This record gives sequence, structure tokens and C-alpha cells, in this order.
Amino acid sequence: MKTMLYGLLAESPIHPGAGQSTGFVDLPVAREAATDYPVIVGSGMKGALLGMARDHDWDESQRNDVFGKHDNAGGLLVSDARLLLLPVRSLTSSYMWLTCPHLIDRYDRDRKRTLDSDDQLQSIVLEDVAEQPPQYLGPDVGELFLEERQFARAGDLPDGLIETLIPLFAHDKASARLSKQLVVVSDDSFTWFARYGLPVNARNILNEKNKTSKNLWYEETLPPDSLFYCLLAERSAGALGKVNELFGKRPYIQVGGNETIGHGWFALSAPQEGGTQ
Amino acid sequence: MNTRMISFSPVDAWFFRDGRPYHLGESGQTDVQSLFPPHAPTVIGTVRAALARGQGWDGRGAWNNDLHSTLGNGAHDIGALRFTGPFLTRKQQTLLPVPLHLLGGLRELSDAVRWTPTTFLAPSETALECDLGNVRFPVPLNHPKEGQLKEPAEMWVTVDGYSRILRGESPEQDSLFHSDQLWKTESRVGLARDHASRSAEEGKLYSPSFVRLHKEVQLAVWVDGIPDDWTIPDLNTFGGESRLAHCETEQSERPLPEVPADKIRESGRFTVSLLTPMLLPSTATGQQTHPQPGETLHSLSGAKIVSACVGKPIRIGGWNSVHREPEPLLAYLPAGSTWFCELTRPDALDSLLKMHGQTIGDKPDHGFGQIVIGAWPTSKGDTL
Repeated sequence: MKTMLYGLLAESPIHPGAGQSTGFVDLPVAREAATDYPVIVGSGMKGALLGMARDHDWDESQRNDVFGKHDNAGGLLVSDARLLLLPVRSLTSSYMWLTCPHLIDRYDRDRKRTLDSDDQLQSIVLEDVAEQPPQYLGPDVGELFLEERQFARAGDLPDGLIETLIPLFAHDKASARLSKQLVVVSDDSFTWFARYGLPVNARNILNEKNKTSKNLWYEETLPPDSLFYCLLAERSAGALGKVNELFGKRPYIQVGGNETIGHGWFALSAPQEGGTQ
Repeated sequence: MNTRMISFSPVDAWFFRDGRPYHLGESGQTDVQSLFPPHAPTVIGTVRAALARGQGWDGRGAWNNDLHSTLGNGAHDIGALRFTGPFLTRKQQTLLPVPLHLLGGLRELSDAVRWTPTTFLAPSETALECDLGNVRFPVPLNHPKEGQLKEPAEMWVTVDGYSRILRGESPEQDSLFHSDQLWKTESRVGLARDHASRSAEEGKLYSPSFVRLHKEVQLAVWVDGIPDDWTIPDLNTFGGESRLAHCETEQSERPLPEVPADKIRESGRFTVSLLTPMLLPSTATGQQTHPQPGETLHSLSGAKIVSACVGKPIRIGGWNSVHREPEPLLAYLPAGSTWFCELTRPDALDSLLKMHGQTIGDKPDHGFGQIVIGAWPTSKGDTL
């Protein structure tokens, strides 16, 4: 099965809706059940690709061939878009790209199965200890403040990590900042930021006459510069080639809600290819 | 040809619909629950399709006739393949469904409130007259001082823990897992978008519940009959909505708890528990009949049934990918169902013990009806 791995770098806030409210946020983002990491589910990614195909004037038989129809599966298989780097604001510096050992391990496994890659990253052991400040791996900025939490430096980033991430970036200038802004924290700390560290925007509808609020709601978004990756595979030969044509001229895709207010835009990296025909 | 263990890991999340309709535009598409673990037909279909792909099938239409002798043809003919499972694995340890004659209660442990084993059920000393005749119903050997006895719903136990159960002992708490320690359901929302208006299409909102496995949890099936030189692609579609699974293959013996032969030999009594659902054989009129007390359990001649703890029937169908339609749903006895049996012919014991790990009932090659044989629990000597 031929496979491709794309990096998705958020160019704008992203709102992959969950469709249900759980707390004070009226419109939270979708999350993985077992981990609480934000996720863009496969059906949403596939729908976005189908939308692109329509914009590129694919006829119905082409669309059905690749994306399937009511009673017949298509030739394209689309995974969830999985989070890898989450921008988090810092009191002491510019924002930091946060990740954790679990996400790095998961990406490593995904690379292995998608790209048949044997160059495994070294495993990272980073655990929070009670009554000690949690630790981070990354550039030496001394005590690091992320949101209201303080982190102590435990060492450098693992060898090869940045080189492994660079292919997921659509822009060289963005990936060049990794050495200064990439930080690894423990799985528990990352989960905290994934749960409570996303931007929450208040939105409002005003009464046209007296400009008072008719409706106020809060929605959660993923910040620009979030990095996701997505795996595409083909059930039947040719489907991936056709999808690649979509990205050939303009490697951008709009996913999720709030399209009309500029949300949902990702820049796609060049695909990393693997598998067999 | 050796037994191969094929392990499935999700790339993201999986969806295995039950027998209820799940069609575009139909009503009732909210909170569509996923089954988990999937039943054998789903896993068998995936394995056969993956093997065919490994032999050059392109995933569309019928596969080459040359493959029929090994892979079979259609939904019911599975060729030379023989399946065991599917079972969950966690950190390379196989997990089996806890048999229904082990009861427990909810106890507060360090991390959560968990089901913990309290007592076994065993046939009562005296028979009770009922519509089945005079029957020795299963009764708890001990009654807890407080709390209620609960069956092991959604509980799984390691092979070592199961061996203890078969000896009539309590499994260690760290060998027991509730389903919420193995996977979580993940509600998703989908819609069809009108491309022109960029709004949701009327009546096309749906919300399936997917399954997301915890770290180091996999689904495994053991397969005999795969030619030595055949391989399985690393990545395959698995279940509904064409979700992806990463497959790993290794030579591995089928997981089987130990049979306490000495205890059974000493007492002349034994239990028979289902590791996988069992399809009761049908009569000529198409009726399925339950084995009754006093009768012989299928394929276990030389012993009679005294009593049983049998779960509610479950309905299993499958998906016919050739005709693109669901298979008819049939009633199966659930895994964990347990019969209490007594020898009627002492010379039959050795052949009965050989049935440990074998299958009874219909569709044995699909892995249905796999049984394990244990000792009757007694209050004497139990560690509960």
C-alpha cells in the first residue's frame, strides 16, 4: 500500500469542532478520548480534501473514484491529523513549540509504519517529580515560564529531533526557528497545556439598532503555527497521485469551522512517501 | 506451517458498527456506538484481504482464483485458514474475558474504583424444581459482609490470571483490567457540507462513537494455514469508515491458560468456559438448542452438564464486501459463559482434557466456541 505523510502547519487559528460543549467553552475543539490531545478527525480531513477537489473542478466520477460514494468506498484512505507541536505563550521569551515524549514516540512510530523508516529517534525519559519544578528539554533560557507554570531546564533536545521535524514544515523560515523555540516537557505537563492552554475567543452578535449583545459565546481554537501531520494511503493505485495534483499548484488546505472569518488554513509540506505500490 | 500471531494497532481510532443501520441520510445517526473488540468475522475478513494484497490483489473486485485454496472464496469459505481469537493484548500480554462464574464487588483502589473478585459460583448442593426440571442452580460460595456481588462485566484477565481462575483461585488484581483501562470511546461529529452554500446539508449530521486504544494495547488474532512465504502488508484498512491498522506478524503459540488436570482427576468435576462466542449448532429445522442440565455439552462425551452460568446471547453478523451488504445476524453465546460438568465415564477424562483450548459448536475454524477446562471451585482451598 502506497503511503504519504504530510506536515500541516497552521497559518491561522484552527477550529475543528467537537459538536458538544463540556464546560464554560461553548464550542471546544475535538479531542482524542484517551489522551485529550486536540485532533482533526479523518472524516473532516477527507471532507476538506473533497472540497478542494470540487474547487479544482473534478467531475463526479473522479471524485467518487478517489473519495467514494454512499455504497462504494473510494481509493483514498485518510488518517486523523495528529498534533505534534503546540505553540504556548511564554513570559520570558517568544512563544515556544511544545511537544512531549509520547507525541514524539507516536510520530516516530507513524514514520516507521508510513515511510518504512528505520532511523529511530532516541527515546526520551522526562517525568515530573512531586515538589520539584517540572523540567524541560530545549534551548537554554534558564527558568522557563509557560502560561502560569514554571519549568527548570533538564538538558538539550535529543539528537536528530529537529532534523526529523523539518520535513513537516512548509516554510524553511519557520523550521529555522525550531532550535530556539522547540521545547519538550513531560507527557503530564503537555496534557495540561493541551487541555487548558488553547486560545478561547469570545464572539458576539450585536443588535443592529442599539448595538447591545444578542448572543455571546466562547469558542476554542488551535493557535497559528500549531503543527499537525496526516497520513494518506491508497486502497487502489492512482488515488494518491491525484491528491498530490491538488496540492501541486497551491499547497494550502482549509479544514474545520469558521472559514469565513479566516480560520482553518494549513500550509502543507512536501509529502514524505513510503509503502509499496 | 506454524501459527502466526497478527497484531493490529490503530493508526488513530477505529469504528466497528453493530447490526443497526448506518446509512447516509437516514435518521437515527446520532451516538452510533462502536463495538469493541470486533467479532471474528471482521478480523478474519481483514486478515484474508491483507493476505490477498500481499499476493498482489489490488483491493478491488474478486481476488485471483489461485488464492481460493488458501484464502477461500466469499464470506463463509475461509479456505485453509484457521483462526483463534481475536483477543486483546496489553504490553505483549494476551487478555481473555473473565469467566462468568467469578463474581466480585466494586472496591476503591489507589487509582479508581475497580471490580475485584470476591467469590466463585458453584452448583448448589440441593436441586430446585423449576421449568427445566430439578436443577442445581449456581450459588455464591461466600457472601461478602457488605456490598453486592457483580458479574465481571467488561473485565479482562491475563493468561496467568486465567490459570488461577481455572484452579479455583483468585486472580491477582494486577492481572485484571476493565475495558476503560484498555480503550476509550470517542464521540465524533460529522456532516455533509453543501459545497455551494458552505453550510451543513439538512439531515446529514451524524455522530459515531469511535474507539481509541490506550498506549500499548493491541488486538491480536492467531492464524494457522498461512503459507510460510506469504507476507501481510504493514498497513491495512480495518473496520468501518476505512480506518487504518498497522499489522505486525510473528510466529507465536496460541495463548492458553493451564488446565488443572490433577484437581479435575481427583474430583471428577470440571468447568468449561468459553474464551470466544459460541454458535450453537442448528437442528434440521434451523432452531438452535441450548445444552440442558443432564445432557452432554457438544463434543464433550463422557460428561454431563450439572449447571451453568451463561450470558445473554449476542448477535453477530459481519460485512459482506463482495455484495456490499451486512451478513445476517446470528445469536451466539457470549465469551465467559461457563458450564459445570461431572464425569459420567471416568475413562473419558483424558479425551476431555484434550479438548482444553479446542473449539465446540459451529464455525470452529473461525475461532468461535474456543473452550478452556478448569476445576470446580470449592470453598475449601480457594484463596478468595
